Amino acid sequence: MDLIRNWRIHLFALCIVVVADFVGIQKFGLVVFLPLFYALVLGGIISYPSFHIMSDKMMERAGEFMPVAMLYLIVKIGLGIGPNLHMLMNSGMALIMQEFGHFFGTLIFGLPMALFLKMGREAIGACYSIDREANVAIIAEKYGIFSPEGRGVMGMYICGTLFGALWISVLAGIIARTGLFHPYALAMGGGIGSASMMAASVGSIVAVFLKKPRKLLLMRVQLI
Amino acid sequence: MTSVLGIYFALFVSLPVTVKVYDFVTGRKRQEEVGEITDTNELNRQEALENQVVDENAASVTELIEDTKDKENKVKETLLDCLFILCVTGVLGIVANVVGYKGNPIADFTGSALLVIIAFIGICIAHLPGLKKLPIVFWVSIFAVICSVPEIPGTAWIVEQTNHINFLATTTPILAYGGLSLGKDIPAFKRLSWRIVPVALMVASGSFICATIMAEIMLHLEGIF
Repeated sequence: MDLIRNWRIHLFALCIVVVADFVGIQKFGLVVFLPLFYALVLGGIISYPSFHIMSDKMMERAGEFMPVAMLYLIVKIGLGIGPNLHMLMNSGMALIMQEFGHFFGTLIFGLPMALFLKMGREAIGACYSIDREANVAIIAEKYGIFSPEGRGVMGMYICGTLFGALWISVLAGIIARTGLFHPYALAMGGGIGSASMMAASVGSIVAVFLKKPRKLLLMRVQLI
Repeated sequence: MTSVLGIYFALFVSLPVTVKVYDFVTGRKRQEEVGEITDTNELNRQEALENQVVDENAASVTELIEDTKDKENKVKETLLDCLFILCVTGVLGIVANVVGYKGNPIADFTGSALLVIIAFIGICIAHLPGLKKLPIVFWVSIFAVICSVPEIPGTAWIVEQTNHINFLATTTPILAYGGLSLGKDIPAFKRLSWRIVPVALMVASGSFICATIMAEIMLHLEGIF
């Protein structure tokens, strides 16, 4: 039970939650700022290495807490699915096809950018997927982590951890507010990357369509 | 489901296609390019430097993997730890709900406690022998879905109680922890080339936008709306 000894992490988390939710949802034109956005930024500031507020060990522990805390959200999402289960069963093809969308999206948007910036074979590692742990493992197995592809995949992994959730929460909010897409489609598209990215995207989409959040949550089953 | 599917998809579809497109667009094969790099001394040195970065990262990844292996050995301790973290998250969820969404602490307590209990039962299911192969998230979500199917008696009460907790209130504690762990990646990030940043943003945007478009088209074709 060394977790109780990490009370400082929990205290920081408590302060962050209070501040973030006190500020609440702010809208500037198309951009929506959510409490989860402030929480991420505040956490990042507190843990910034130059400030020496948190040790590496503490940051690592905080990183281990996140997946467990995520289950709390997963349950909340899951409880919204049951009443709408039959609808989900009818949209199986959409769930499979959006997986193609995830892939072609990284290729169509990412690769031209990488080539434009004259990246070498790093581009393959960086652009073949959203590059989370499993994708890093695939590249490491096929090319080795020290190959150019390996460098690309690790770079994307680090960037995704640092900026992924921030970027996605802003982007998902903007896209959702353009009104071009149905909330279900947005929710399916939002199921990308790491836990924090998913939480950020689904949070932003829900904030835009507050009137029927539960129906929206239905589509989040793909997060499973 | 997609997390499992996605890995196979990435391995057998995404990666080969990306390599093909890259080779086609640049007109260079892997052997030539990797050869080029090792020919030049300067690039070699650069590579060594960057390898160091990767090395550290690789070490942290393997550490993570070892960590999870260790955890499997200490199932009991892990379960207690998980329960403790979940309870803290539950309290943070109540706090977020009261501060941000004008919740009533007493009504919220039942809802939050239910979420924690369901999550914990889900974790226990995931630790049953034979069920470990699938991720914990899978079992927890399946159990939560079962807990809300209207045909099962008692589920209506669960759904009603947990509805006191605002959805967005559950996301704040998670990203608070996520934010607190960001610091450890900043030193590694500083050593990367700046080029990766715009590429990373484009990749994330592309993934989101294209998947949304595909889902929109498919949902129309299937006549869901």
